[in-house]
Amino acid sequence: MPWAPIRGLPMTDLDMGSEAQRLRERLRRLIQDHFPPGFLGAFSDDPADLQLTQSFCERLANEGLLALAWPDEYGGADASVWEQTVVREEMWAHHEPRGAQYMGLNWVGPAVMRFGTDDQKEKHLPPITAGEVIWCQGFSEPEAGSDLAALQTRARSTDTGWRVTGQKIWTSYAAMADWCFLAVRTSEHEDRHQGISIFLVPMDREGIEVRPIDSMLGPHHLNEVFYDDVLTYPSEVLGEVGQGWEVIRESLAFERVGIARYARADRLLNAMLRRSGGSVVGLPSGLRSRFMRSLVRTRIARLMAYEVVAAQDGGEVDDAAAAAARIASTVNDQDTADVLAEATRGRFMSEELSDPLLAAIEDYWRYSRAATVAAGTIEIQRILVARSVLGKL
Amino acid sequence: MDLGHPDVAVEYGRNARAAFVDAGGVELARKALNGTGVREEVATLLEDLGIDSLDVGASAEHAFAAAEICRVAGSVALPYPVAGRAAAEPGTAPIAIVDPDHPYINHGDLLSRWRVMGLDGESYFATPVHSREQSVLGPFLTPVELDQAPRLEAATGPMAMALGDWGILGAVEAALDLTVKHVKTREQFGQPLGAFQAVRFAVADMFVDVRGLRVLADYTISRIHSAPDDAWTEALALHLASAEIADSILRMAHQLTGAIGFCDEHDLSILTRCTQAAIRVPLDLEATNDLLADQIEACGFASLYDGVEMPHLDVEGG
Repeated sequence: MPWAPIRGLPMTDLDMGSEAQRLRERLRRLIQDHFPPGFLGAFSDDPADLQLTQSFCERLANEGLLALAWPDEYGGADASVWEQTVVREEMWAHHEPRGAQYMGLNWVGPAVMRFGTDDQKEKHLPPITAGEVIWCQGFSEPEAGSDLAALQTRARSTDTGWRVTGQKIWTSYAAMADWCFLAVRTSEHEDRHQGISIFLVPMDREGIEVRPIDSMLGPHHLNEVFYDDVLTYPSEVLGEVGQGWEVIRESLAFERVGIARYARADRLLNAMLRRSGGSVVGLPSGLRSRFMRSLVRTRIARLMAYEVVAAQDGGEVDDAAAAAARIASTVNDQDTADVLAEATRGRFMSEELSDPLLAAIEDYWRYSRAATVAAGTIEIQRILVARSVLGKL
Repeated sequence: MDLGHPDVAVEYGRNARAAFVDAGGVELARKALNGTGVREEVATLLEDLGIDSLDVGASAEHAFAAAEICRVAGSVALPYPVAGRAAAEPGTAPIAIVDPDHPYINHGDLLSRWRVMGLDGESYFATPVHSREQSVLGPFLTPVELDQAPRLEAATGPMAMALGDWGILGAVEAALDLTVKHVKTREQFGQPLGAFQAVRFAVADMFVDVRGLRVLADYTISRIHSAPDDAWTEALALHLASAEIADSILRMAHQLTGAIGFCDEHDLSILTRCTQAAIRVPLDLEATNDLLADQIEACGFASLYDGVEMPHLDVEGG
């Protein structure tokens, strides 16, 4: 096993530079100004929460902060990877104040930049940078989760395009979404990775039905979406017909770093520490060492994410490092949520309605249960690491 | 932001590794455990590598070079207090962290005088009392006598401890390497052990932990150098992770290596035995927890939201 020294760590103490720090403080001020205490994201039963995030996106767009990471030619600011990291951290730490729009910003937009026609870029990119559109991801199906290539939603050829029939599941924010990044099978091949195509489909097209799924994660996170003979057109294919697997792979690579889970862990650990008078001594005695462990593991998760960011910026692709960072981050998310829950001695689920910190911990604990399942299960991440370390045996 | 490990440190570590392997690698530890007087030869080897010219307090490059030599030393269980020697200013006595209530220094008998950072906050000189009888897990732990000494620079003790943890890092990297080699080649039930998913997942988890320890170790050296006021907190945080991860990695390495890994002929056995002192003396996981708790109360813990006002999470009116 090659033990080349791990690149990608700052020689100084994680000093991203004064620009990045100013950006961080600016984002914190904006969030604090725009959202009331107790805001826990757009995905609630109260439509006002979604409206708040929509207006926040417009505000960010007006300030030139929404599509910061995008290239200048597409309405972005060509922000450095570290400024992008700051955005990712502050957004996740504050329960994603961009609501469901983060999907368009983080990877749908970049995928359109990478594979889209000029017409598609002109049609889809400006609304994303203006904070006017919500995208959802039509990938998983009842028989195709980790094994996405097993997808069965089919696009039948017609004179004008295709008719799509099938079912997607777990589609987050489907009821809120304007557009869907939809993976369908356009032809049959022995290799299941071939014959897949990506369509950019408006969610108000006839034949699309969204059925919300109630879950412990909360409203909007999980939905079924049924496609019943839905018309699609050549102009809506992203990339080439049959190129879908490559498009999916590269799109997912934009999200290789993943959400900055460590940032929410960091914020809530520090909030609990403040609530305990700045000392772990105030915590339940059996919990102190686990609390400190969470502080240290959260730091490790952050450092491993930075390593991936730096490598990507340098044009290096290290799937094992990215998968390892994701494992560290998601496991820490659950461990930290457990620690925080126990720090409240059960009050996080009995008094959360009257205490914003308890409410944030309650939300965090529920959502973290899916951390090792969502966006690539931990088993898949382990397979990727093992493949790199051990090879095929 | 400037990223990357200084090339000169990497080169230094590479040269050190070549020298250690040339001199016998883990066999040096094996000989030392058998009572062969090989530790003095190791001292000469280190002097030839320029360990006494490292000034870890003066430059980050030197600090990383010291870290690298500690790491490669740990990877072969080099029977010598490399961290203590590397942490010292050139031409001065080596550094150790000691619990005054239970004063021991690993390989303390090799040098006539040490500079000590006591866990009670005082600085001492330490002199070895006698070599210990045979011990499986602490064969080189030497009881020492302590005398008051002028105060050490604030970052010196933490740097010595962090460098010791770089030795632990080297040991767990080597343990993972041995495990990978074993599961790729050892066949049972018609296939290599590494073809079984449970084994693959266990190796993956080991890789994640080792990688995490490595980035934390890198960061800690940077921080001790750039923020000496936080040095002790950072060193304790690193030791917390090192102690837990070492325990976990070595345990899993033995599990996957099977019975052969317990035999002294196998390098894993030597690594496990010779790393325990660094993991547990003077600060094991529990003792580290206690001290880190004190540090957090006194100085906080550097993080994204350390010291940040969070009014939206406060109870109204509270």
